[in-house]
Amino acid sequence: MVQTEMYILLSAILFVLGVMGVLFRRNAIIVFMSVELMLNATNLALAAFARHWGMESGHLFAFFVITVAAAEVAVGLALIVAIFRTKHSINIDELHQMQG
Amino acid sequence: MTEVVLFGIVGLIAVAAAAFMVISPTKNAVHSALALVLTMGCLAFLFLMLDAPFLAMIQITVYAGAIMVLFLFVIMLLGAEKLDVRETRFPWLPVFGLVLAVLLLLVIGLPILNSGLNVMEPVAATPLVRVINAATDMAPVEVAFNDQTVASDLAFGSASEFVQVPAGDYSVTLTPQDGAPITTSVSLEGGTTQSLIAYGEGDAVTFAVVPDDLSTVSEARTSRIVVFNAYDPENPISLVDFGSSFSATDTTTYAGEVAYGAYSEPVLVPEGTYDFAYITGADVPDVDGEPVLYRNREYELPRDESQLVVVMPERLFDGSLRAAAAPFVDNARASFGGPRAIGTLLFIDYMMPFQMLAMLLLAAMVGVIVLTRHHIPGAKERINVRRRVSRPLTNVIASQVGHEVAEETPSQLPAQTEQHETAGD
Repeated sequence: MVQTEMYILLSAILFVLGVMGVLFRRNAIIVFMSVELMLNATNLALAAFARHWGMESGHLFAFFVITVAAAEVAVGLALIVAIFRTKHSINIDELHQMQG
Repeated sequence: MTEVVLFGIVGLIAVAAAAFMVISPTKNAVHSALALVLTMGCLAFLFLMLDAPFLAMIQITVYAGAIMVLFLFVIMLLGAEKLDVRETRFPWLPVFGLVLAVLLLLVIGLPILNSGLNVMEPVAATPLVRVINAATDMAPVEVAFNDQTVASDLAFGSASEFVQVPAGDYSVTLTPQDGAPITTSVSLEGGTTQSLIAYGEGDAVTFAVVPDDLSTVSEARTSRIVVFNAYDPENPISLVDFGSSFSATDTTTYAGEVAYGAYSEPVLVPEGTYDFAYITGADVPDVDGEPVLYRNREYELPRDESQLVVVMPERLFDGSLRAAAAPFVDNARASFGGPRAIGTLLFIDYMMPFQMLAMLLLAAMVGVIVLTRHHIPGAKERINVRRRVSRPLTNVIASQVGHEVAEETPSQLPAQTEQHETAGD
């Protein structure tokens, strides 16, 4: 049986990769995908802890995270589409003003 | 060992695909999205290794399916496959990012490695205990554990709910409504589930402790049955199934020769309809061969249950005794991480968050519709321009075609259907 720590470490690595994507990429879609990667990494940690303590609540929280992620992706991508219509670009460096 | 190797391979693939997604060396957003799909597939595999089959399936359908299709759709809709080449405006950015990543990983990883996670053991659950009144001629009793009343009006042939008490030694007092209290002592250990059965006739009430197994029934579509003999002090009893009433040869013995005051090994019985009979000894009579002690014709046995059947003597109105078998049923615990366990948790313990999530999804849906409504600046004028055309559309078409369009013969279609009907007849 693989130790819980190994899963948590893998989850930490994936999370850090996601953070790097959010910090250093300028393409809004890639930034969004990096956020998804971070959410997935937390899900892995939740499932690992759920097995460690023998409690299914962790699975349920991961389930909730997935639902929230689905809602967030739908809204976020709609935002990207709306921004692309007005700006004709999804480079977030060019979105430095709040006015439409 | 195989599991560790598998974990290493799948984890490496996941990390490599995630890194590919973040760095995207091919400068193509579609490739990044496909790499993320691969990462999520690997994570679903890891969920399976973590005893979370339901979560793995949700991961594949929702994440790798729905969400990533949405991503790919938007990428292709916007024509944003080509990533901007001049993204790295600062030449030192990759080095800085690498240093930052390593630092962050150390900050997160070192506490995990030093936490001694594998040393910690879950605290043993508090013991569960219930009391079953199988003592003939005893009036309904009140049950107290160390002066703490846990059940009252416990009639003959009924069981109290499972009571959660701290582990330790208890003196259990049964006080009948019309008689002197009877006391016994039990010691309860953490993490155990037990039934305390009071049985016997008249004043000679004795106690037996039967362990209950509420864990997952190991075989699919089966139930677990334990037989307790509180009936016959002289002879052991057995549980047999007469099977089909048309066949004399398909009799099965499920629990053989349970001595007085003892309980059988748990037997796994598939779900279905049974013709259960409780008999003296182990010699199985014919299908119609009486006497059996007690017979349960057309007994519907559901799946995933843990049944403790207590065979006890029941006093009839004329004063004679008759055997009665009362099953005390409990749902076996659902398998860890399976849909049943998740569903139970979701719809009982986490109903409120579930409802709130539903509201959130609804709000997200409305938000998406509002955001993607077609309101390009300048669109309004175009609609007005169109409205300025005052002539009806048919006139415009007529002027272009050269003859009147509205007077086309429209009666062609109904006539054809009528023909079809006559042809069909």
